[in-house]
Amino acid sequence: MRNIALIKSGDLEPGEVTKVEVDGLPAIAVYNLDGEFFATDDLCTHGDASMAEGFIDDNDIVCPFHGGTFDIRTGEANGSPCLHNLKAYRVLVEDGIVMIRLDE
Amino acid sequence: MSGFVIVGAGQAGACAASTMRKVGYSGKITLIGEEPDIPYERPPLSKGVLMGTESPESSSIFDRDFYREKNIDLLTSTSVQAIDVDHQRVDMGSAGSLSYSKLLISTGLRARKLDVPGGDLGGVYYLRSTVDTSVLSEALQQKGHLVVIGGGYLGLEVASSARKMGWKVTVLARGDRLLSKLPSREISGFVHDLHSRNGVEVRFNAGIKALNGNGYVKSVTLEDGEVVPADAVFVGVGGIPNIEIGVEAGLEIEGGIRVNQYGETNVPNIYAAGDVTSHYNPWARQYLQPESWQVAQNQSEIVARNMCGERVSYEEVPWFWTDQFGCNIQTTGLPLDSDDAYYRGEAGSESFTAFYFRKSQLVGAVAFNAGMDIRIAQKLIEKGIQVDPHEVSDTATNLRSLLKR
Ligand SMILES: Cc1cc2nc3c(=O)[nH]c(=O)nc-3n(C[C@H](O)[C@H](O)[C@H](O)COP(=O)(O)OP(=O)(O)OC[C@H]3O[C@@H](n4cnc5c(N)ncnc54)[C@H](O)[C@@H]3O)c2cc1C
Ligand code: FES
Repeated sequence: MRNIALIKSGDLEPGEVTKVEVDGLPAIAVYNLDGEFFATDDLCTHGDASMAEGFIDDNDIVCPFHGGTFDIRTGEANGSPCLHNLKAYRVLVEDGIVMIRLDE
Repeated sequence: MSGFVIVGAGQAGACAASTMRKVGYSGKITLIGEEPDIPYERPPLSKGVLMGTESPESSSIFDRDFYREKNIDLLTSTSVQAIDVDHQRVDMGSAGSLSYSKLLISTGLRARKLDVPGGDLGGVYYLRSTVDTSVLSEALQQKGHLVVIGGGYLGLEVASSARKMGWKVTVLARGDRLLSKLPSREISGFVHDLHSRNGVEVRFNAGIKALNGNGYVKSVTLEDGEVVPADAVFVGVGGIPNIEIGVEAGLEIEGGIRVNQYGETNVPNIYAAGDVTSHYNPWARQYLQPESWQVAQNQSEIVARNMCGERVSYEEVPWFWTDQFGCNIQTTGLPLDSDDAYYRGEAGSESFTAFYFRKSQLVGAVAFNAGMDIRIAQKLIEKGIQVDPHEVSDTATNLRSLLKR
């Protein structure tokens, strides 16, 4: 198991999403939903679009390209044209640092 | 045993079939298409697939197993020749006939052929299907001078792809600007700049008189007599809706098959969706016939739900995108006949958005590399949220925050 630090929790406002590049992993999108943090892969499973450029609609992230949606909390594809889920990561916040935990 | 029959296994047909299962319809579904492929999305055909950077398979809408798992009978390489309205049957020629309780027509468009002398010479290409793409892609492996006839999005995307593959490219536009569906001459000008910067020559008001060559095209003669040399010609002059079976069945036609906001035609139990339709859009308060991914995807979903007994209206704010030379251009709304544009970001730069207002109401937007602005503009228009032109054009304004009004 390995924790990877992404951002400082104070750096992302509620209702916002940002993209983080991590060595050896695909780009990750980090979300702040009313103070709770979530993370998924940043690349849409339907095409070449960045989730961090999309916008948050309740618990969903709306892809900026074709408007497909994913549940931010689980990565589940829940709106067309997206069919394949986004990988969602386990997130922990310690000492003001948002991290993901990889089981490896 | 009769059930639902879908004629035309493209994007609209496949999305409709999958929606029928999603909402719980358990009867028989037969999806009939004349192409050999399983249903696929067409936009990559003029972009990544043409250049060889995306595989043709990646544009499949669902994989083959999906149809088996969902118990959807997919008949490929099968064409419907006629509809017998009285007996509710479709005739598939040698493949027999099939009865339906409800029928969806989603036959799309075919490429309009260039009707001039020499139009049938070798080296003249069109683009609608995977077969067309592989033929064109093969031809573009050589290098030379490609003449593109048509200044619409398809011609321009092919111009961009061919240029990247090392061809010299000349675009012959019939009118006096590119992408004439864009709201203004000014914004079309930015598209022209993009092509000029990338080495494409564009000729305006260039009517075509003839294509010349001995078996294989060698040059194009313009109406003013000028002769433009060519090693290959791509024709992108629009599409013709595949309405023939609908005409014979007595469906009302107005450009395409006329449907209301529920997707119903004038004949009971016959519906239509996608590019083949001219559909009433209550938001726009008019019939629309865009050739767009959005309608194929979302209208078909609504029509399928209505076939399954729901009553939902398709009234989406129109949206379209095109990719040229790495620039993603998106449009939303119906910005024609609007007042001056309000720009967010510097007009003509790498990334900017033009917002259009009519009587101080936001009616549309066009963005260059700013897809996010379009998503938000579409929502603002859909919800009828009042925004001020100076506010949206000020980059200090967070556009997302306007949605919370
Ligand atoms: C090269 C290309 C690039 C595009 N790029 C973009 C883009 O960037 N953005 C955008 O918004 N839109 C784009 N589009 C438009 C978009 O792809 C279409 O709007 C969409 O494919 C329409 O879907 P449809 O299902 O209505 O029709 P189609 O996808 O055309 O499907 C209709 C199917 O019905 C079949 N058929 C017809 N008649 C019969 C019959 N009698 N019996 C059996 N089968 C029949 C046809 O063979 C075809 O397979 C592009 C289109 C093309 C061709
Ligand atoms: S690329 Fe995300 S919805 Fe298509």
